[in-house]
Amino acid sequence: MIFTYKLSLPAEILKYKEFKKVTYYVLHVEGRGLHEFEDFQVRMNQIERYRTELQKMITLISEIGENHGALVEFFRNERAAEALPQPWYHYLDVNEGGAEEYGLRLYCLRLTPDVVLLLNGDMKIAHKADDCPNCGKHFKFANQVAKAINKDIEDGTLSIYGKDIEMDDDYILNL
Amino acid sequence: MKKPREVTNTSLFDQILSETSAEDKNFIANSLNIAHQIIAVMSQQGLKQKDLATRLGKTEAEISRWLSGSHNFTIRTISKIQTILGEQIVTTPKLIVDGFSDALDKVFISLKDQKTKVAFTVSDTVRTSYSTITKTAKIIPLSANFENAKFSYPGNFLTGTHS
Repeated sequence: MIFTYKLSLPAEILKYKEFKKVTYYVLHVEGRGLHEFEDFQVRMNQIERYRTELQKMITLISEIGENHGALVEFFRNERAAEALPQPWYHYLDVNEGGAEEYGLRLYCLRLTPDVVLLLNGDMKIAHKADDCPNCGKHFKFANQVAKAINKDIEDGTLSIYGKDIEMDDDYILNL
Repeated sequence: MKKPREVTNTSLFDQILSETSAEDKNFIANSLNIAHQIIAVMSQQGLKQKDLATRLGKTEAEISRWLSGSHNFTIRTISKIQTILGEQIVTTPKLIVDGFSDALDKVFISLKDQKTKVAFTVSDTVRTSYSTITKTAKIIPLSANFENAKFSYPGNFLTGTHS
């Protein structure tokens, strides 16, 4: 799936999974078949050699959600956004095309220790996300979402109460 | 105000999770538990990652990696952290049971000294099935004085007041 991100892209925040400590939300951009996190899971699950790493990522999300809460230490800073996983090992491999691989990245927004918005990601094949042909667009998109959501929280059209997100009745996230 | 609509189909997430090996699940659970314990102790002691890095002679980036919840800790690293923080970071079921038994003994001796009549019943399963320790250990007070008795266990795993 190839994405092109344009201005004023309407998107809907959806509740994805509620665990004891964290509720995870996802984002569905109007006109796209899948929400962003589903797109990530489907694409990464199709590539067999990514599968084990994807499984660890999903387990990490599940464990954080069920037993720990979204502690800031568990996430990596990606400018205004965050990503999973933190570097759990110095993952570096070389793929068939000769490109270095730095591991899967899932971009997300850790809004509070109880609320996380899971976005999209890919296999990182460049040292800097900005330079990565796979992750660059997801990194930029996550930062775009972060800015839009922060603005809406400041404006009061979107609020967080414990593990719940509440928004105005006619709320649409405009990216 | 409204709440977000819910995604009705999360089956791929569930499927991927169910296909994850038990070993990988255990690894991530253990690493997160250790990281969370270190974070909790650092918080209690008012320490930042930078402080721990300085004390251990490591870089802040390295400490950040340790606390990520996905680090493959060695016993040597854990031992260093425990030594620096002066707190137990990991424990074992055996240590918990031993600590629990010791704590009960102390309470018993203390109350015996006060000539308070109490009786303890601790199920045999405490020593044979670690997971049932809190369910099977029973303390039956025969005196109202016992309500004031506090018992605590090493490693801050179980602390409380009997009521």
